[in-house]
Amino acid sequence: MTVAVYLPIFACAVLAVGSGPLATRLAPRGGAWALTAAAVCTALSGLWALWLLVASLVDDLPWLGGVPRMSLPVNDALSAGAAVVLGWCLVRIAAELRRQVRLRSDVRGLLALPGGELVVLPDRHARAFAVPGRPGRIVVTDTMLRALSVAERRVLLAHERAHLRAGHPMALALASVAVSANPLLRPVQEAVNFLCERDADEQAGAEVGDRTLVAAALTTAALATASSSIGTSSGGSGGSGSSGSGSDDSGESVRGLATHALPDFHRHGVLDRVAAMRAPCRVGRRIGLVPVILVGAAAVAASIDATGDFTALLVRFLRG
Amino acid sequence: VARGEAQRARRAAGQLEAEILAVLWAADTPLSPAQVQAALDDLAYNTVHTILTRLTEKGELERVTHDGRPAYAPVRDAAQYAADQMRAALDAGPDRAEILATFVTNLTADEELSLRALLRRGRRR
Repeated sequence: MTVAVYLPIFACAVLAVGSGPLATRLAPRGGAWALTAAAVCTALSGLWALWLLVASLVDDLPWLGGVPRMSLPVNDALSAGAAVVLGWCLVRIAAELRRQVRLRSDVRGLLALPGGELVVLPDRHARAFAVPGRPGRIVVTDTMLRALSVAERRVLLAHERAHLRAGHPMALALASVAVSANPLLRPVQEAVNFLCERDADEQAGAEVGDRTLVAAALTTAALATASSSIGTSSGGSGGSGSSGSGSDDSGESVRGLATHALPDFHRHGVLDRVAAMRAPCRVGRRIGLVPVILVGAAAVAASIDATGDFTALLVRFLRG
Repeated sequence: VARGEAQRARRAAGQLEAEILAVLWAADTPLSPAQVQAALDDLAYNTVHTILTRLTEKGELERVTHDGRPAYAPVRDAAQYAADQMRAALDAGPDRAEILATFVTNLTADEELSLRALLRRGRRR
């Protein structure tokens, strides 16, 4: 228990550091799911480890007064700290789950619209996304459709269809919950997002039979998204969201500064996807999945080990 | 060309519906079946006509007269309402759309410059 209880946190850190380089090297489909599973496993193990630390306060319970203390390798200050962190994590998870439920109810109206897989919305923003459901829908704004050529639209539809078919929204939701349980996992979530997009890009490339066409569609769509969000906010229709992209001139320069300060923020963004689709098709290595799975498994094994140790100590303590 | 045709043949009716719907939404005016066929350039006229009729029966398109000819236009009412709701939902917070699989994310200023440069290089070639 001395070591094993801290291993899940260490595993989270290893995963967080490793996920950046792995994102561009793993096979997209397997990589996305392996990283998601590892993130969920390490996050759950971390929560359980915190709980074990908190539970080691059991020998301080007043109605057990007088019995000899447990000989735990954990001091009470650490346990109290763990209790605070655990409480904070649980609040964050609850908030994240509430956020996802609310988003689901927001998009329920889209799923209920009449028609087939494609839902077109009249909107000045160029947007496109997949809404999971039974069946899921592909939601695209008319501004986005106008920006793309017929062939590029086929790419967009194939891409979103691939998201729905592969169940990517589930991976994104799970990764998001894992981050709420452990903020260290943020880079892992970004890698999962990137690999899901890469997987859908490759699927779309296979469906239209032209990978460079996918690169062209991504370029056109990305530039349309940028110009449509800038255009809207300069029109001054207060509260046009899209999180700070596009604003007046001073806003623009602030954004430029932020970009230079955080060069890696968008490292796994559209540019990397365009580059990947322009390069010859390279099947990511499956061998790369092994360390990811090992880290997840190690975190689970460590928390099982720590639980065993704790149970043994607890039994000895309760027998007196 | 042969491979392209084989791929077209495999495409399900639902996919063709989506492509035709996209053409009509992207157009500024109602389109005649012949214009839709010309835009997609690899579908038979009968196929286009069948799908236009089916989309009209589903209430996604309406038949109108444009320049004295029968033409089709997307039905906007339900979509407009949904669009307003969606915009409100997405603009409520920057993180709301994070778990939706969006086609492209917002670009940084640097990324936009790089993409434009890439596009110019591609054109010159």
